[in-house]
Amino acid sequence: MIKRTRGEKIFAVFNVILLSLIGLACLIPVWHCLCASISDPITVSKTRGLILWPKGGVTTIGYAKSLQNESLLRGYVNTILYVILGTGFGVLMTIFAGYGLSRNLLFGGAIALFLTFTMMFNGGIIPTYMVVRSLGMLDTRAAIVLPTALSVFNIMITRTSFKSIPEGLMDAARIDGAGHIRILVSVVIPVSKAIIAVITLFSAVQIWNSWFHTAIYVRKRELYPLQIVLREIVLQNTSQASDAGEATSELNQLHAIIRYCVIMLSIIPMLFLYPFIQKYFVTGVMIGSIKG
Amino acid sequence: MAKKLIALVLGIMMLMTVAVSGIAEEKSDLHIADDVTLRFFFDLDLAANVPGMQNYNDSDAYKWLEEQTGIHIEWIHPASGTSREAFNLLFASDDMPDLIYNSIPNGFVYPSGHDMAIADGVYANLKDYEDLMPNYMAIVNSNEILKRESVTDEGNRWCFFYIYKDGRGPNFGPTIRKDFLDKVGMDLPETYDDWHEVLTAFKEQLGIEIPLYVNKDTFMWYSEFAAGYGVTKDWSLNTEGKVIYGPCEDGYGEYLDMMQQWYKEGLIDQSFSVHDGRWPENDLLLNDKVGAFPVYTSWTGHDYYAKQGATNPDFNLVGTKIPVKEGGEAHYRMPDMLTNTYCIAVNAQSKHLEEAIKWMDAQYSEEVAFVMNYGVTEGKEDGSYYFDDNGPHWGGLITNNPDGLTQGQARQRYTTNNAPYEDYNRVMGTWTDIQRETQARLMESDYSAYISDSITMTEAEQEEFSDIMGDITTYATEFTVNYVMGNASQTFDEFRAQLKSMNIDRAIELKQAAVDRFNAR
Amino acid sequence: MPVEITARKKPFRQRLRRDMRENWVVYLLLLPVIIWYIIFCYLPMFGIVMAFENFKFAKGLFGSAWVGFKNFQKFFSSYYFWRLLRNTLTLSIKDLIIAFPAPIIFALMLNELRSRKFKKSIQTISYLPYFISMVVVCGMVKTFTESTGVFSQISQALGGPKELISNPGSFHGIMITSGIWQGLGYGSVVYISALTAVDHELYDSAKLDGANRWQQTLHVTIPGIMPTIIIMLIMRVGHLMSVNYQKIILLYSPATYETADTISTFVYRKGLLDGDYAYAAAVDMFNSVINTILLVTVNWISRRKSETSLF
Repeated sequence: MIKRTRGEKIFAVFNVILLSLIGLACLIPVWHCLCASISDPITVSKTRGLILWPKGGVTTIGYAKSLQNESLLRGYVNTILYVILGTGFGVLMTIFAGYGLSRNLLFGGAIALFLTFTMMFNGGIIPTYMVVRSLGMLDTRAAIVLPTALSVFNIMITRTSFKSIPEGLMDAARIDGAGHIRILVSVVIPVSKAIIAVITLFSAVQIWNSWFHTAIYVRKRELYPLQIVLREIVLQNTSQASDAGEATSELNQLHAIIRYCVIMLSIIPMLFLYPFIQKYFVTGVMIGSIKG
Repeated sequence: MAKKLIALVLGIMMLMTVAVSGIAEEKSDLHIADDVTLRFFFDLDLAANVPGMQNYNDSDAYKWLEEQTGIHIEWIHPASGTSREAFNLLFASDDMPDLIYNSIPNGFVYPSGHDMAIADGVYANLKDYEDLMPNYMAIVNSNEILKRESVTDEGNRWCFFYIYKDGRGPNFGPTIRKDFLDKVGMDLPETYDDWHEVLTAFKEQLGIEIPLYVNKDTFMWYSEFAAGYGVTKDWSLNTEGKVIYGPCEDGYGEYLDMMQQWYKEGLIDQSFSVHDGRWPENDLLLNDKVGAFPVYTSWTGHDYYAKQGATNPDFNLVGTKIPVKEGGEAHYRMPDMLTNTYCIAVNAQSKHLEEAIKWMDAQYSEEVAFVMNYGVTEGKEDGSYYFDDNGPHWGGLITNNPDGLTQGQARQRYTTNNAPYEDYNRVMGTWTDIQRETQARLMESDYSAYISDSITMTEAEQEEFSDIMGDITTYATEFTVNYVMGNASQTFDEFRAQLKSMNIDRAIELKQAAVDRFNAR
Repeated sequence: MPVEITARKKPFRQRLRRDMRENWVVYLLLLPVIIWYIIFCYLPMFGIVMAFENFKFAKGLFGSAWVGFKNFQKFFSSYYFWRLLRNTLTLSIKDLIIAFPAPIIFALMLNELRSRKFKKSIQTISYLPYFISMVVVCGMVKTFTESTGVFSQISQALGGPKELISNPGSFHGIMITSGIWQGLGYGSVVYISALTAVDHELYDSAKLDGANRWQQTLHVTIPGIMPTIIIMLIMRVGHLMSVNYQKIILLYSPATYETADTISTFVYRKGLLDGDYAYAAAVDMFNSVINTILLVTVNWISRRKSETSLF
């Protein structure tokens, strides 16, 4: 084992401390949301500042109320479906595009420009709505999954990663008579698990969090994804005072904590997703791949 | 003889049949059509929050209405957070609903204005259908102001306005903690000097952090504290009935100086520029950190906030008059007391145009309006309404719901929350004495400063107006806040000169022209 | 006969034939992607036409009157044009300088950890704030930075401004810091993945050459992930004018307009007044043009200096 110098040891300690502080800074607000979500609403509404322990007694009333919304369960199911469909489609297409652009194509530059241009200019939500409408996709699941499935950003980072695969690996496969598809499947993808994990994560999270486009394209409640239902829950449980006159209802008792419950309902599944992805961030996948 | 008897019997039987069928038909007097569904784009579904209700159709009032008219309503609500886009997209789609809710204060209006909506063939011009809407027309024509407000300058009738039957008095104004006042031994403040004394006492004797809560731009919602100086934060009419833009007036400078002084002395919320609610957050209010703030009349007294969890058992909120200068008057501007903000337009391309109009109109008839306001079950303790010498009141179902619904929820369940022809007495009937007194005090001010929301400009004028005001509004709010906080880089006179160079006079001209046209309708 | 060594470019026709022969499969793979972009990005792009029109919903895109650059003129002649431009750019550039390196450094620090478990936990924890909704995040930020909040108290003690959130000078700092906090974990994922691809053999040979940890980082790690960093940087520059207005709206106030009011927030406020889609479209187009100029410039520089570029 290589001995570490004193400087390195100090650095290591300093590193751990700093990272722990960062971890704490990230954890505390989330912990605050968790504690608030199970605290007594009235106590919470009177508290300014962080809540680090459930206040006023533990209550599950916020969650109970959220679950009363019969669309919630359907929202989860829908969103999981959209994540699977959308991520599947998106990641596959992104891999194709990343691979394609990482090769030395005659028109490669032109296509890269073609894609980058869409990152810079877009028509806006109204023209996109018109296109979706004329495709007859309004009120369909397709409208929720397709229009936002691809991202130039993902394609570009995939391309960068594919480009850095040693040429030697691919030559070896070519010598064995492999064509592009073979190379993609048996060389590129196995070696790029990390970047594929990344774009899967990005796709999945983006779909998990999205609500705006869906809200514009879709009216049918059965298709509603999780976030729209969650927003509804918050809205239904917070003050409804309108300019028209009185508040239409007394300040709803749950308004102080419902936002936190909704955040937790959204975060907790994500908590399980990330470690899943982390498995692929393993170094040394390429050790031993090029030998002789 | 037998023949005569038979004839008589037959005759009587015929009469009876006629009479009976007459009674049976009377019930469906309101009947409009069978098997018709109207699609109604309306504000967010507040009903869905009520246990036992899926949407507005589950309320007793709407159920009754459907039975009577035979028309089924399909409610369309924008998904939360996308209201603006959803509204605008209605016009881009090719299946616009039959009835469309508009709201001028909230910006839910046809982008180029009401006249253009009609000219573009999007909204129906109800002027052509007035014979189908006798109830609405009768109400509108009985009142000079309503007559003017319900049409455009060109005489087009673009929507059904939601109307307050007997008007609605002011229901929002400054309130103050009576229990604090008692502690420092002072009366309800009336002049600015009174307020200054009271707030100082709150701060120095009671140690209250926020003696007076103001809005992000120091004005409170309806410019309550500026009315005594004859100005508001933007547009109003002065005592001669001419349009003025608040920031241009001398009174504005005086108001700012007062606010600046109060800020320095710590009498107003030191973080006011960051708090953007109309009234303080509960964590300030319920912990006795605020002395006075603007809020709804129906929230005054003790009970409302006690239910919210106010820690102080003596918590007592009382409404005050609009503050005035010593010996002066408050020229106040509180929005329209005759119409609610809801306006329902009818789709010109609707396949059920006539039915839609008739259905809307029905809700302005005495009978239907009553049900929409009071529900269908009579009974003081367990019904939704009852009568006494003063007229109808809400019954136990609403005020003291056995299923534990709040009053607001019960309103949704048994009546409607926003009836097109609203009888505001039903709300005031539930008020306590404190609340009534509060309103009485508010009514002592003069409301002639108000400019109707229904004034319109032509497209070109509107464009010019928005261009000028876009920059000016930013400038005025920024100057105001910085001045009050003591950070202004200009004097008030320099500010006014700047406004002039930004073309405020032209904007005033445009607004005045619109008001003149309105008055000439 | 000596073989011609100089590389003279073969005629296009020949190259094309060769390319098609070798790579037709790849083009096939790219085809669905290109189609997708045509449908969902290029078709709607005709909406840009709105910026040059007096757009009316009822008349649609092709029926509304053409007004040329009028919408742009409206924007440029605004009293606040220069301030808005200045604020947008300074906020973005500051964010670029401070917030861009943060996830990279974070990833590098994580890389140095020996304990796998600790590394994984910190990674997972750090990516959670990304999921807290903006409204709640801004609520927390305001609580900490208003006059009674922790950070303002510290500032007062140090002789700084009484209240941070209403102080124009601290607004950018607040935006950037809260942005880093929220996006650190999530943004570092790309770099963490890139780190796994750095060839171990390079580390080994560096160690053999006697390099210590720091030198390894400098000469192996960083160059190893440099292509990723460059691509991320180019894309970031390509979004310089696109400042997230929602967060600013939640945090700013008239007291901080001087530094907080950006192009997007101003247009948003104006939109509340009059729903002028054409105006918003014109401003969008202006932003896009500036972004593109910046992107192309940085891309060109990068192509010259390194081998990495976007296109």
